[in-house]
Amino acid sequence: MTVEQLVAALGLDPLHLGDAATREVTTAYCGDLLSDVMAHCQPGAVWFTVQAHINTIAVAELRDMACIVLVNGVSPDPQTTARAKAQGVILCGSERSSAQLCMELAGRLGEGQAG
Amino acid sequence: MTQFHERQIRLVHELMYQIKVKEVMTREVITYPPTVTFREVQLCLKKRRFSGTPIVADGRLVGIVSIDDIITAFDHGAIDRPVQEFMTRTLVTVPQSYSVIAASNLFHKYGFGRLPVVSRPGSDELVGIVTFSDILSHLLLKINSIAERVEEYERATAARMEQRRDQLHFEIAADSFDKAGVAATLTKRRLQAHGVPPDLVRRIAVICYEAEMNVILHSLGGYMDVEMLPDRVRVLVADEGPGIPDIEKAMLPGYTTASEKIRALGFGAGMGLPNIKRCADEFHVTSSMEAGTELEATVFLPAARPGSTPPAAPVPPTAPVPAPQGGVL
Repeated sequence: MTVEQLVAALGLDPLHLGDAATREVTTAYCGDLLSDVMAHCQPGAVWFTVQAHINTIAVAELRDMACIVLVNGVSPDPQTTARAKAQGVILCGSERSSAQLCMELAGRLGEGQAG
Repeated sequence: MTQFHERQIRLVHELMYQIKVKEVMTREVITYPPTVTFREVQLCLKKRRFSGTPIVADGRLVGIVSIDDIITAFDHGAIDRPVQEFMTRTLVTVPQSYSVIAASNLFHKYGFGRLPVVSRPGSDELVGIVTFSDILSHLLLKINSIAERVEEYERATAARMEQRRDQLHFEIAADSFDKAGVAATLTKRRLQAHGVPPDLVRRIAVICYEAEMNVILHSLGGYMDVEMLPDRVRVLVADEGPGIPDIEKAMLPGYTTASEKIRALGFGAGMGLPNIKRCADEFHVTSSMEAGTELEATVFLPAARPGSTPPAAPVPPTAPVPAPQGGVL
């Protein structure tokens, strides 16, 4: 599944897509403790989090994530969006919770890869 | 004469003093007994394009027959006579232990094309023969190998200079949340440019990020050095204090001294040091309440890993960390 397809499937608010929306999403991770995310999130993941500050962007960049989804209607400050743009990190938002989004996503990752 | 030429000639001279005759001489010498005829010798010289041949009796060098001697013999109608009648008996020889400069001086003095080599000074035991071109070829070989060593040295020096440039230095200010991740991100870019395999880049990035965050969150400020060596990447982080009171406790996952405000931002999970340790091949941390904390983490690159490919070659990414314990669909 690409980031574009993910945005459509979960009805996400594309805060910053840039030119990498065809990037493949291979797995997912939920976490709000940055060190925990640094330790366990795999490359190519969509990351669901409530952390909406510039360090969120740094973590996503360092772990080679596919995209960040800010959940529970959290919105980033302008500095954070600017950093996402500067580093080519895809940033989306949703009113729903990490759990709701994950349940909806369950089983759908990997579609289009097998076929 | 330029300085360059002077240096070249000094080198050649030095070499000619260092190289011994026995290193350059031909050991398989064609010799004849004194009873051989001039005609036989003449045929041999013509065939082999030699300018002379030693005459040996009972293992002793007794004379030499040169083309000049053959012409003299021809003049006297003695071409079919044994060589002992007209051969050169006043012999100029060179001992094998002498430097080639001695042989070269003799060539120059007498105008000979070749010199019989004897076992030691004053001896008439023939052990070889040396020509000026033997000396020249050997000199060229020596100079060539010296040039190769110089080239190798220059390459190594250039490589060392290259390495020295591959060092990143970051000053990290306390509480500089807005700069967080900058050092780690720049390091990651540099490693990618060097062709370091992606899984190792991620591990080093985690080390840099956690170490950087530790300095920002918990210290009065410090710095981070990233050294990129051919076989490893070394991350050195030092801060100005106040130091970690109990490192053993700090190494326990979940142990944190972070404030409520820091934890609300998602930091202070008590996983910084354990994360660094897990990503590093070598890890040391020392801390004192006076001098602050110093942390050193090393990750070995493929060249230094047994059975792996050099960094330039593409290496398929492999999962460097244990399987996630949750959250992955």
